[in-house]
Amino acid sequence: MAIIVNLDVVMAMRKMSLTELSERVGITLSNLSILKTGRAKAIRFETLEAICRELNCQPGDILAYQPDE
Amino acid sequence: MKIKHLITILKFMLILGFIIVGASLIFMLYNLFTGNTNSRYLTATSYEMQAFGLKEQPVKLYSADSSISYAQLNDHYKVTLEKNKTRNALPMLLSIFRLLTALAIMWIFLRILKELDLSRPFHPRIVRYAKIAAALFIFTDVLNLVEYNVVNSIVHKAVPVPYLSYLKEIGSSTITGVITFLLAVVYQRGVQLQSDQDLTI
Repeated sequence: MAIIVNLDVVMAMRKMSLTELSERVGITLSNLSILKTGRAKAIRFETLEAICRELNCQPGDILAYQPDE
Repeated sequence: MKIKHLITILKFMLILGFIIVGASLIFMLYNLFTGNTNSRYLTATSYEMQAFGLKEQPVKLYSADSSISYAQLNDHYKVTLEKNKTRNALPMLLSIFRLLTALAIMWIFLRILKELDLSRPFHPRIVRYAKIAAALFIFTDVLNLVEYNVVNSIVHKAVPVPYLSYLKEIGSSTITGVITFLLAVVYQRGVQLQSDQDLTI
């Protein structure tokens, strides 16, 4: 897919584990794992807002566009 | 009545039908292979036929208040293919295939009802089963068409009545099959939407 999820990079920079983030954001670990591995089809604004709030970042830090070859 | 109860009733009816058709098939095959042609489970196949093209028009009668008209048809025949003749084996074979197809359709619908979970109604396996059921419905009509031609061919060679034709309803199973297939395609879209919903974080 053309949208790349850089959640793992931002999490590593903030030294935050997946479990901790899932607890803070209030979504399940499996759903966060789906998002991190790029298998998600869509992301709700409220989820994005919560992740950005907890990681203290911008949506652009988490999501990036890379054209398909 | 709740949908859950309706599903239970449907399941019960399907299981009952499956057992009855299965038992008939087993008895039929058993008698066929043991050569027991006099068994009551191996009935000679009878067909309703009509001689089209006869010149005599049936007399039309009316009820007392003239609201209903009725006519006695004289050109109707009940043709029985005697079971001890080798050339009559093909219609019997087609009957066996039709029973097998009916069993398969009932089994498929039982599987669909078993897979159906009302909390998560869209399952990819149900789409596959529905498509198989659609194909089986169409196959039933193919068998009907083959039977129609075979019976007509056998009867035309042996019976000297002109334009004798087997009264067989052909096409309804195909329509059912096409409708089932269309429902399966719509259901497939439901499965896709449910998958998208599941993968929306």
